[in-house]
Amino acid sequence: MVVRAVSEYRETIKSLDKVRSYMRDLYIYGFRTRRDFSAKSARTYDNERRRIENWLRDYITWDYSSKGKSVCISVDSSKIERNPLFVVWKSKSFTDNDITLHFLLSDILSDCGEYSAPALTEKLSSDYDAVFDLQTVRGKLREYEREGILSVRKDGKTLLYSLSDCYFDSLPYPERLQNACAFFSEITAGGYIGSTLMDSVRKYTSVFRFKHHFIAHTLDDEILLRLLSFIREKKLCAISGTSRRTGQDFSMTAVPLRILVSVQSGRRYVTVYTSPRNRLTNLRIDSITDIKPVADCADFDSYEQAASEHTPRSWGVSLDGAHRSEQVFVRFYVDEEKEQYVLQRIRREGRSGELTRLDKNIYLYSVEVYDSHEMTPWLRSFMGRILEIEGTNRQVIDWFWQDIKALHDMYGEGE
Amino acid sequence: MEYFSEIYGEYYRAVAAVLSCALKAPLTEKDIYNIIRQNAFEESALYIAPKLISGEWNLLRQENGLFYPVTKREARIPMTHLQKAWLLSVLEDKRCSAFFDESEKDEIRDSLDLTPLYDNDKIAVVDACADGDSYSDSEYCSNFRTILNAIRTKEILRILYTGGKGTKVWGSFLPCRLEYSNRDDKMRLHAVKLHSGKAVFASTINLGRIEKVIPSGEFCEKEIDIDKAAKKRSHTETAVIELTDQRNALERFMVQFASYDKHTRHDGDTDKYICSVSYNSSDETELLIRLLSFGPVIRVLSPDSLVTEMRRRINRQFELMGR
Repeated sequence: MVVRAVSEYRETIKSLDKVRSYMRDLYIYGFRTRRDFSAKSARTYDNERRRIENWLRDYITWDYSSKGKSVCISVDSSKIERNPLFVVWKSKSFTDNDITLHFLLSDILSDCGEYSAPALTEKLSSDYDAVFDLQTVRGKLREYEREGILSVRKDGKTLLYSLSDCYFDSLPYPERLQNACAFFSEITAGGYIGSTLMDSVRKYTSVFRFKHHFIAHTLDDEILLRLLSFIREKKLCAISGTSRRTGQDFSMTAVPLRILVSVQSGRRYVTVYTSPRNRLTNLRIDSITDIKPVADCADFDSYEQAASEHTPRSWGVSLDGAHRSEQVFVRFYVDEEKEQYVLQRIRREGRSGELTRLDKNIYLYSVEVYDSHEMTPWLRSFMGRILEIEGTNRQVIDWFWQDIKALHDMYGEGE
Repeated sequence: MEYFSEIYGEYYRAVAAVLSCALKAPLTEKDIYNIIRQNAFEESALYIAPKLISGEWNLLRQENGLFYPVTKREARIPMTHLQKAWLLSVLEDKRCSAFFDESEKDEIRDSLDLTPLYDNDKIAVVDACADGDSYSDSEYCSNFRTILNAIRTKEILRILYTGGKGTKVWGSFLPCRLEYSNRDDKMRLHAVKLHSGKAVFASTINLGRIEKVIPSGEFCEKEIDIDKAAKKRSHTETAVIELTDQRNALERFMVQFASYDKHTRHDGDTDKYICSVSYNSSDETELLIRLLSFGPVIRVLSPDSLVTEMRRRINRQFELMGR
């Protein structure tokens, strides 16, 4: 009988890959049980669940059904000061040498002196009774110089290390910078980085709250930042992932061009140019599991230009039908005296469309888009006000009216 | 630059806290466990404390049952390149003009001396509202900073703004919080309206509609709970929604409503999902519109107010169809 060693459970993690998908599922869905997570072993589920329950203790709820126990990360994101899911970024594993050298080297260098690697190795031993070989100390010094914590100066053949002199609390306008950091850490790409700055601030209470706040975005920040880096470097990349819709794995070679954010649906996309197919497509960022640079892309600028040309007639992210356009005309009934707010909403949300007054309380909204199917959720939101819809895509209009009938059957005439 | 690094981790912060406390006064084992629990995760103490106490990490030394730091000074770690680069990207965000003017941003940039982490112009919002706040408007920015400062100092402000129905409103307010929505790109002030120094009710004011903000020079001495004041005008309600997983509805609904506090279960008999969504009653119309946008793949079961309004609009639409 072969007995495999069971890896010891650890609170910290080496990479975000596994926990990212489990945390997303527990937060977005929160009703799946152990047996629903069949892609990995039950042991993996147990370890990730235990980890997440430990990290997010205050936000965990449980439910019990005939299928088993489900775990949910439950957060009203309009009431929190800080994104609790940032915790995943602060759980990286490390070695004993890592943590010891972190505190001892910074302690030595905090005297504002400059030291060579051999001098530091000697000082660790003589002043702290901490014996390390020179290679190990040198490795840590190089790592911290790359990260910006240390500065290095060459003195002849000797490299002299010192602590960098840039501290968050010594930047200009420190209080206002704290406010800006607290704000932007919740809403921008890589926001967790802002939270690491705020971790160094004592006794700060944020005055900001956020509505329509998609906190799960932080789980994709590593992929997002890498995409933005490759966009800047104009790289051809190997991209792999799992489709959110079908669950099928995919891989492709493509040039990432720009990031698209839908603040209504909570999804984020990357527009890519795929070289074998010679077409533009939008990939969900939360479906991407890995991205690596392959080569420089000489035609990046022309692909980017092509992507920008689509923007004026895009309603959402669909690039279907980008070689043609569809016209949509909607006649609304709006009480001009009492419902000006409805007209304001149409103007505010109506993208590149035009709103024209036809008669008292009768308005025409007209727009030209690539894919009018993307408009149907928005049109449904004006239930009870639509007199007529006309357009070049008959199928979309027919589906719209079929949905109204289905809704009428569902809710009936009333009691 | 490492995006994911132990340098930013809870463990390093917890150990820094232990060393900081030990520099002020020697610690007992119990002290060490307590400090770690306050600064890291619940189970962290089980891992960190033995390593510190045994001397394995060589950061504490023991003497007569008490623990002293091996380090001589408070740990103070400079900013990393990643942190600086992120801050530089933030300075390029148009909304940052509300916090700093251009010369102030330049001063901060000069201190950081690096390239921004990413280019903001490579990120586009596809469905932003057209009437987002005007962050480049100097009066808007001035009002924003005055309000931000007043929240911190608890100074009462005299505010003139245009209300939802176009009427001008003037009054004394104690500003409490600023709420931002990515969805409509607007900043809103949550404040308590005062009359003769007493809290009257909670108010939500769009910063874009504020015409004047005047610091009064008066400060509020007592603590005012804005959430308690807000409860007088609205309350938490729960909508129960039945969802059929057609047209990828489950994934769309769950992602779109992820920002709400919700609870979902699967009904094995009907193969439908029952989702309870908590919301503020003052946001019921906004919720209604979002639910309508899903069409017949969802059915609202409660509360009655929501179901009644859904039914009214659907019936009205069905009537209009008949014409």
